Amino acid sequence: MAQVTPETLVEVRDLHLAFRNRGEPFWVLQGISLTVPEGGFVAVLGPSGCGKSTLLRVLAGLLPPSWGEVRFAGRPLRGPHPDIGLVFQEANLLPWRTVLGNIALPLELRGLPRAQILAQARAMVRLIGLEGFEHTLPRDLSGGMAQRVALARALIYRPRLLLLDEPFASLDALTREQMWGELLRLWHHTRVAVVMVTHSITEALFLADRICVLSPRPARIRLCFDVPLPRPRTEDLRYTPEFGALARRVREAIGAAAPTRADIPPQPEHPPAR
Amino acid sequence: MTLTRLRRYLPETLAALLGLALWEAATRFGDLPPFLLPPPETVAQRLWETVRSGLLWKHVMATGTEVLLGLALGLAVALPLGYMMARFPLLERLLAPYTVVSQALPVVAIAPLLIIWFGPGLLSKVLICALIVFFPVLVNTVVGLRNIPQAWRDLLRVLNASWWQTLRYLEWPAALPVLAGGLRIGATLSVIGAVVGEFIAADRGLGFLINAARGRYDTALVFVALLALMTMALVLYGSVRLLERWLLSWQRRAEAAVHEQVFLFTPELRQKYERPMANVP
Ligand SMILES: Nc1ncnc2c1ncn2[C@@H]1O[C@H](COP(=O)(O)OP(=O)(O)OP(=O)(O)O)[C@@H](O)[C@H]1O
Ligand SMILES: [Mg+2]
Repeated sequence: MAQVTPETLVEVRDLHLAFRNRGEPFWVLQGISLTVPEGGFVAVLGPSGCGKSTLLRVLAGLLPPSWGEVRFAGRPLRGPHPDIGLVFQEANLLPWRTVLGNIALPLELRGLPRAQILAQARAMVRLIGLEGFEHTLPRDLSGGMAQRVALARALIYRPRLLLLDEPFASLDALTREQMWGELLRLWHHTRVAVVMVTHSITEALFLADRICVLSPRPARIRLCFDVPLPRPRTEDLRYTPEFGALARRVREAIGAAAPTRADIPPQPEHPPAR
Repeated sequence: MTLTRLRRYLPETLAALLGLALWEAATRFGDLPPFLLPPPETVAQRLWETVRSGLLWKHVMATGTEVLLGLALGLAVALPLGYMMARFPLLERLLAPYTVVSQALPVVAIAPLLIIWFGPGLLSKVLICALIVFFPVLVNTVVGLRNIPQAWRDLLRVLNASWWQTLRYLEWPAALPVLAGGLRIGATLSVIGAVVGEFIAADRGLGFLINAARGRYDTALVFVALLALMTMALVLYGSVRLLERWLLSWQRRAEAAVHEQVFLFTPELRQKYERPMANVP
């Protein structure tokens, strides 16, 4: 199979972002540069409060850069774009809408015909395995079900870029690993490019093509590298020495990002405590 | 069926009957002149007369019209203005001197002024009602809209929603519980506004009727008017509650999950359900 270099979908160049705090800048992002190829999967790791959600809000066009540039599909990004989907840190479902209503919302806003909206939303419900819950309200869903609905809501309008803000943080380990499989399947299915923020090294390594590690606030890029693991990735991969070595490398980059504390020995298996 | 119904409202029914009995007893044994406290049967008789002659209906209609028009006008101005104020903080600051002063001032105190300006007819009463409804609805609109979580607003922005879509799909349903609270207060206040206006100057309406009856020491008629006023306020309040329940039905469905109920089985039911379950491998 001939390897074709995929087109660049997102290009972030020297992105700075500061909030205004009583006339003074409150620095959150400093000099972030990264690219996301069409159909690629980039994971962003970083300590809590370093500015990961803020980075995603910039990539979604919700916040303008203080300076620097974000280009999407070859054009400077100015505000929200119809080809970009965002899944929030909490599922962020509208409590007065049912599962079906929440998933259908993006299409309703686009004014598609009623029948088509319903058909697509039902197909999406099937895809995320929530048949029978179409008319359930968000408050009656488990955390994992709500996250799947949020994912479906972002995928239903077939964005070219999907931004995921710690989508599985609130799930238990087993559900989370199950969701990894589902996410990879959906990603493979739709060929959407993904930028995913996470706290988990394992999650990042298991899912992504490329990993970027951020420093504590103000966030700079500490390390950015391609994950040299083959696809399709299976459960077994996580127990290979190769995987372990990569995990160690990321851990060290994050360790360097945290204030050094020599009294705490490195713990190779688990993600850093929040 | 009727018996269980009756049992359900037993405390309320008993309390009402007790009140009536006390009233009756006070007039019978209290040696009060009827113009101080007429006995219940006199009031009932007066009620029947005024209903039959159409007198009561005429005044109920007059007050009802003022209340409803005033409520409608108050809402029609307060809702859009509240939306604009929540959206543009500068507008809120521009209007602050007026809103603060008018909140500190009891609106009924302005009523005489409105009657001087707009005459003793329908218009001045409608304006009094509208004014008294205006502020609670305005405040609730601003608060309801301001308290919408940023993440929901971000969601609608990510989905490229227009301002109108944001209003329809997010702001309206999200602020509705608070808005409904404002409407409930407004509806109650509106009745007060109408009656106060009629006390000052009017030739019809329940407030006018009370005033006129008082002048003639026709205390039974005062009671009849009060009864009508009470009924009107209850009907209005009930309609608002019904509207609220209908608009916010999702909230009740969600609450049902909070007040969850465990299915407790009777032995017969258990047999019915246990058998099919046992067959599951
Ligand atoms: N709208 C805002 N105005 C001012 N400061 C903000 C705003 N949003 C975020 N911040 C600040 O920016 C910093 C980064 O926040 P952000 O939510 O991006 O962190 P994060 O990396 O996503 O953290 P976590 O992993 O806990 O979700 C925090 O210190 C936060 O207080
Ligand atoms: Mg975050």
